[in-house]
Amino acid sequence: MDINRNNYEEYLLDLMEGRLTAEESQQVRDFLLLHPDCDEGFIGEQTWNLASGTIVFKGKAGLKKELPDSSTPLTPSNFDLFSIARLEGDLTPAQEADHDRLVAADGARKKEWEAWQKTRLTGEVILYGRKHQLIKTPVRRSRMIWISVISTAAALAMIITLFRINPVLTDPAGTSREIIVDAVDDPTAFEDKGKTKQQEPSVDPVILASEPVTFSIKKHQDPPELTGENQDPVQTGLKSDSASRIIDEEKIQTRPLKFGMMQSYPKAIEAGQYDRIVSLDLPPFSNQSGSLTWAQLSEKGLRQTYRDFIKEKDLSLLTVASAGVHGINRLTRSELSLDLSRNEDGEISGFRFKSNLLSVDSPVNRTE
Amino acid sequence: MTVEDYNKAVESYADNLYRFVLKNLKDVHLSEDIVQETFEKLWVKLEAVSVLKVKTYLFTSAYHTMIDYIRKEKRYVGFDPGEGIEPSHSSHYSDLTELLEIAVGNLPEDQKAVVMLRDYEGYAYREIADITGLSESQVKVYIYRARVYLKNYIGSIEQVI
Repeated sequence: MDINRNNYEEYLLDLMEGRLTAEESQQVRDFLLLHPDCDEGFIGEQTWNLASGTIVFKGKAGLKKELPDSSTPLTPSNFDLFSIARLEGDLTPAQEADHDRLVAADGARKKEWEAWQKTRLTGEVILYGRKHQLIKTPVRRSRMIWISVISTAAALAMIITLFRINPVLTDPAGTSREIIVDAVDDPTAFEDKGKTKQQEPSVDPVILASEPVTFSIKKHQDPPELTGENQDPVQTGLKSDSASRIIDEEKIQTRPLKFGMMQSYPKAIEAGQYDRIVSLDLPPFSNQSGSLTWAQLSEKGLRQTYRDFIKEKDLSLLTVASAGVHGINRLTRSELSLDLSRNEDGEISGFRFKSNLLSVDSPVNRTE
Repeated sequence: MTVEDYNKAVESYADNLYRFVLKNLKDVHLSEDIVQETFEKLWVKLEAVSVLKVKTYLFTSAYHTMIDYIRKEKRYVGFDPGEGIEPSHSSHYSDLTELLEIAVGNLPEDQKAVVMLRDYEGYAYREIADITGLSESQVKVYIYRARVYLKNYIGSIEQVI
C-alpha cells in the first residue's frame, strides 16, 4: 500500500466503505495524522453510511391489512376485517364468539357490524325471457337416418349432374316424347296409363335437358314383347341402339333401362334467372324397390350405356339428375330442386341445387 | 353432457346467468344476447363439458364474454373505491336494495363481478378464481375492497338521508 497526497482520497473512500483490512486502515489513519490538512473530518465519525441509524414508525402494525385466518386474534384494530370475514363465513366459531363479545360490549361496533351486514347483496329474482329458445329438441335417430339418406341421394344426383352436362342436344321436331329404351322387358308396367303420346313442337335443344323423364332399373331375364305402343319408329330404333347392345354383349343379368317421357314439357320455363325443372309423374316406387344402387349402376357400365344412349336419343345426364331429385322429393316429401341458369344467348350457364338447408350454385363447363 | 342435461342447465342456470350479466352490464338486450351466446357455446361443446362443471362453465364463459365486450366498448373506467364517489342524487335512494345496486354499479368491473358471484351465486373463493381467472387471494382482496366501498357508500348516503 502506497498512500500519498495524490491517491489518499481513494484510500479514504475505501476506508469509509469498509473495504480495507485492519492494517490498511491503520496506514490510512497514520497518513492522515501526518498530513492533517488531508483529513476532512471523516475519521472518527460513524455516520458515513446513510443506512445507518433506525427510524421506526410506530403505527406500522395498524397499517397492516392481513386478512384474518383461523389463528388471527381479534383486536380493536382489525375489527373491520373480522366483520368482513364473518360476513364471508371465514371465521372459526371461536373467532365468531370473540366478535360477538366485542359487538355486544360496544354500541359503536354494533352499528358498524350492522352496516357491514347491509353490504351483502340479496338474491333478486330476474327471469330470462328467451329461455324457451335455448331448449334443444333431441333429433330422433330415424330422422337423422333419413337426412343421411336424402343427403346421399342428393349428392349422387349432383355427382351425376356434375359429371357430364350435355346442353347441346338436338331434338328433331315432331319426335315423340315417349322414348322406351328397354328392349328386354315391357316398360309399360311403369308408365302412367293415362298418358297419351303426343307430338312435341320444335323444342329448343337446351330446353330438352329439362324435360321430364322417368328412370328405373328392373331385373328381367327375357326380352319384352313389343307392344303396339313400343313399335313406333323411335322405340324400334332404340331396340338396336348401343344401350341394348351393350347389355346383350355383356351377357349379364339384364337390368333394363327405361327412359320415358311421361308428359310433354309444359313450357314452365318462366322468365327469370333460373328455370325450374318440372316435377315428374313417377310410378309408385314400390314397383322398382331395391333395383337401383350405385353398385349396380357401376357394375353394368351405366355411364357408357347412358353416354351411348344420350348420343342417340338426345337426353342428358341433367335430365336423369332432375328425375333423381324428383324421386327424392317424392320419397321424402322434401323440397329439393335442380334449377338451370342461362346466359344472354339462352344457353345453360350453370345450375343451382337447392334445398331447405343449402343452395349450391355451379357454373357449367362448356368444353364439350 | 346429454341434450337432457343441457336442457336442465337451461332451466337451472339461465335466469341466474342472465341476472349476473344484466347486473353487470345494465343492458337488457346485450345481456340476453350474451346469455344466448353462452348457451350456444355450451351446446357446441356439449360432449366436452361435464355435468358437474356446467354452471362454472356457463359463468366463466359469460364472464369473459362480458369482459371482452366491456373492453371492446371501452366501458371500463378505472375506479378506486378508496377515493370515494359522492352520490349526486341521494335524496330518492331510500330503499337499501336500490342503494346497494347503485353502489355495486360504481365498483370496478372485477370487484363487481366477484362480489356478485359471491353473494348471488354463493361461489367459494376458489370457484370465483376459476371463473374470473384471478388468483384466490386476489378474489379475497377484491371482495374485501368491495365490501369496504359498499359500506362507506351506504353509510354516507344514510347520513345524508
